[in-house]
Amino acid sequence: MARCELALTDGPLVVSPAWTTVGRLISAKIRRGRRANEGADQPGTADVTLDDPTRALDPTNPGSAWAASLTPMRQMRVVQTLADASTEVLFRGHVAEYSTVWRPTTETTLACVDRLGYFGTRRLADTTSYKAAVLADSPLSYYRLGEATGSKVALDSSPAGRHHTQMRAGIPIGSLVRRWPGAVIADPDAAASLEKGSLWLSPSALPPAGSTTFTLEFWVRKEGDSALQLIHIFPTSIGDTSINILEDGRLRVSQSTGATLTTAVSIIDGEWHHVVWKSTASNVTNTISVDGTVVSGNLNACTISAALSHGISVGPYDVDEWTWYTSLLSTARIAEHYRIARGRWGGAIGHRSGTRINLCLTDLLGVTGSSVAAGVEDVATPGAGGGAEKILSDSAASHLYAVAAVEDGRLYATRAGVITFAARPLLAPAPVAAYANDGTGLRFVHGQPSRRRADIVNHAEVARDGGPAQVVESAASVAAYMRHDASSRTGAYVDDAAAYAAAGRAVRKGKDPVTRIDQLVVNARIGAAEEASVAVRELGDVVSVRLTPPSGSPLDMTCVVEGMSHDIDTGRRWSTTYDLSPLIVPQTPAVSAYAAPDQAVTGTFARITPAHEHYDTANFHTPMLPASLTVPVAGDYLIVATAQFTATSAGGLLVAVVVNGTSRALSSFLHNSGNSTLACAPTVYRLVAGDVIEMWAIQTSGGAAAALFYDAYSPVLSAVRLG
Amino acid sequence: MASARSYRATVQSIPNSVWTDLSASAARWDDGPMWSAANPTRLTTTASGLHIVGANVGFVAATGGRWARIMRGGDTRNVAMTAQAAGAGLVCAMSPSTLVDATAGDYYVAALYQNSGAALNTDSVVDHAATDFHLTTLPAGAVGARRESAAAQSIPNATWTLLTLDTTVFDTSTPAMASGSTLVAPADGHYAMWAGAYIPAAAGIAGAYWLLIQAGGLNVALSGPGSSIGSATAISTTATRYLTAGQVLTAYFYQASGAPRLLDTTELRPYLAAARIGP
Repeated sequence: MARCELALTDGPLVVSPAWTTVGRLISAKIRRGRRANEGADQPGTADVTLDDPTRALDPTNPGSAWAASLTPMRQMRVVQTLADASTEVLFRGHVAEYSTVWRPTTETTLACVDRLGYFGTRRLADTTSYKAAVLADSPLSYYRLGEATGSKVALDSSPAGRHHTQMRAGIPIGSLVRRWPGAVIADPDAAASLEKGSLWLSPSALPPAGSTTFTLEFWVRKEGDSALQLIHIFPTSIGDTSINILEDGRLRVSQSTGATLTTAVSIIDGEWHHVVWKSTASNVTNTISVDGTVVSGNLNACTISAALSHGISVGPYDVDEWTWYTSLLSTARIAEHYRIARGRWGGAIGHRSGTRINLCLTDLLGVTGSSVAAGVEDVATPGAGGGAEKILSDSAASHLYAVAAVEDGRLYATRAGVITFAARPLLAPAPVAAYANDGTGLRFVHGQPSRRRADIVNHAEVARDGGPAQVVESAASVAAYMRHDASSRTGAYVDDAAAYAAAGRAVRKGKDPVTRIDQLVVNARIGAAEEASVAVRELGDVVSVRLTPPSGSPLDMTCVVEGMSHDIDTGRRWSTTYDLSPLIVPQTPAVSAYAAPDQAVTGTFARITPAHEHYDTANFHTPMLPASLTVPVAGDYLIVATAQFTATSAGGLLVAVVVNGTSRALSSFLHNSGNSTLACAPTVYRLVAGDVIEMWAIQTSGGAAAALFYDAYSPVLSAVRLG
Repeated sequence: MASARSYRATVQSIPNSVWTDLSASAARWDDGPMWSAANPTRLTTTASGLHIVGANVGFVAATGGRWARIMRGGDTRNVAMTAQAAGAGLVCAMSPSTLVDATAGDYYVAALYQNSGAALNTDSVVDHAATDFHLTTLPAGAVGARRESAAAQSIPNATWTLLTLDTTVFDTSTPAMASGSTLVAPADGHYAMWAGAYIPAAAGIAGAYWLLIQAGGLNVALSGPGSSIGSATAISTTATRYLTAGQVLTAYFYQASGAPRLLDTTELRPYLAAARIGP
């Protein structure tokens, strides 16, 4: 049987509430994880209906014992009592809505969400908080620089509305180029760079004449090692003042007097950096801070003159959140601005690491309530495969899912309400349960093979650029129950044959057709064993399923529980549906590529093009680089290059494994009595993702270019990752 | 999983007709430590288990024969050898490699031999592969086996002949991979495979020698012609392939010296080895 317990807590996120059972005869529809045929995880939901004859749970009943406590986002949980009187939590979340029906028997329905669903109701509070924080410090002018590309006007977001409208005489006005993402994480406002000209602000947007105390705050992002001037301010009492990026990436405030103030670290890394320059009347405590690290030093007196002008220079950098203050921003406020903009969900991005999602969760929860169960991989390589997030989400939950996707993992709330991140691919051990409808495993009611259309299995489209003979080949084959798309439109092929060859390779990369089992329906009341098995299942569990049709061979599959639904009707009827996906055990990164047709080899050491594949489990091969194998993931690789040279009687053959342009293994043979020559060069080499493996060869028969055979024994370049 | 690859930053002079251990000056990487300057010729295992050991070596262009071998410290028989005739303006490059089942603390040494008539330097021109020596532990879960022939097998002239393997050196697989003269893939997966053989010096040995590995009846690794230098010759070959459970690996030898030849069992027993690297 099942019972529903509603906790009375003083807040929705209290970790250890005192649970009070409020109903034991419930109906419930619980949905968790990913539904069949859906491409994304979703927050869990539970609609719990209770007979409520006394209207104890009716929030419209002022006499209810619970009326004062019934507020949205109270915690709730559904607990199942098993045959042996033990209990299992089936769902834990928060009450989102109430619905009461007055009928002869009054019912109250609680619409509940799990903790991820709770975040689904929360907008990202930080989307405007940076702006709010800036405005709270009463800026003179505040340019967010999120204008559309082409705009020649920078809008002032301060109450004064000192929009940029002027240009400096004689200098063409620059137009803005919108840059995404901006410096403030979770803020849809973009940043800008300048295209041509300069962006010169009007005097009204600047500290007034006579000012000796002011603060300039902005964010900058730059790649490349070219020095440039960011900002130019003039005239002041000491002439011009500028802020520059030095060639080594440090920032320097320079005055016409020759006085300078230089930061210690480089900002040239393609990341956003927070820069604050404070000029004081005392003239001895000028400071410039980068990401909160302050450098102080003496600069000459800098009293702003009446005809002050100020500009942002054109250059290969992005700038954002450009703000003038006529006061000195305190160190605490600078730190707060930085924290709001970057600190909440910052941190290193680690592909499959769980680092970023854990930061997000910790920040959102504010308590230690999350569990990161990542199959840790590549933690030590920030940015590997991650890239910049594009935070356009309108809720914290959708942002979390986006971050989980960035980290190549799945995000879900467990039965007990713990938000969990698990990296993909799911490196599952042996299945934790076996379901079968032939008596060899836990019974189920119905297994649902995939209903996906069986029209296309493999499909490839490859385009050749240029000329009227554009080639678009669609190679398709048909088989049952699986669709695999392999599309590549990035290749620029020199002729039709190359385009067709690429299409062929893409098609061959398709998987063999298999029959999938998408859903499994279990009647949990059919036996104690099934009941217990159902109760303890969790999203991400690996189960084996045997589905034996009325005639024919059984279908055996190992599956991952992607989604789970319970339909409970007052404890009398109860069915559970698992939404399944096939467990895909990742193959060892390995490739075996061969060259065909015959490739001419000359007396010049030259690259062989093994453009065809025996197999390629990790996309070593790309259509754009048919002669190369690009290492997909770091590791030690066994690499072998072999080739058979056409029969000749003079000279010799040398074959090499070349890594990033350097030979790492060679093998040579002299030609002999008109016999074929076969060279084999194996080696083990430590590689990182992106390294390029090639096969090179030379022959010294002295004659014209001769062929490496492809028919009897092709030139082969293979690699396999050793763990 | 531990791995090391030692190398020599400068040329090494190999005396005429003297087996000389490769002596490294540094390691390109070393997880062990498996290499040390105190014992620059050695790579020492830090854990028991399957390892790939191999060398990538070369001589400057000259005439005569070249040999390369890999031996476990304390043994008298090699685990891998290769030999080549030199000339034709080519550097003579060799890459012996094989699978071993080592005990922690075992060390391996690679050595070179040449009979050009004078001391000869290792190659320093063809990039940096001239004197590299590597030893890598296979990942947990990898299984492998090595079968050898303890009895000298006669190879007829001009006939592809199945290597008759009668001794299991190791077999870490369940079910076993070793089966007669073959190795059988115990499960689907990616495999690496090696074969090698040595023909001792004898009158009339000049000729061509080839070695091949077949997987499921298809050629997957070939190497040769072994030597026309009128002296002992050795051939090794390596391949990686995806195999399905039950696929059979075999090794064949071919020689065209004009007469039957006995395979050696003293310097190097004919062998076939394979390891399942992963799924």
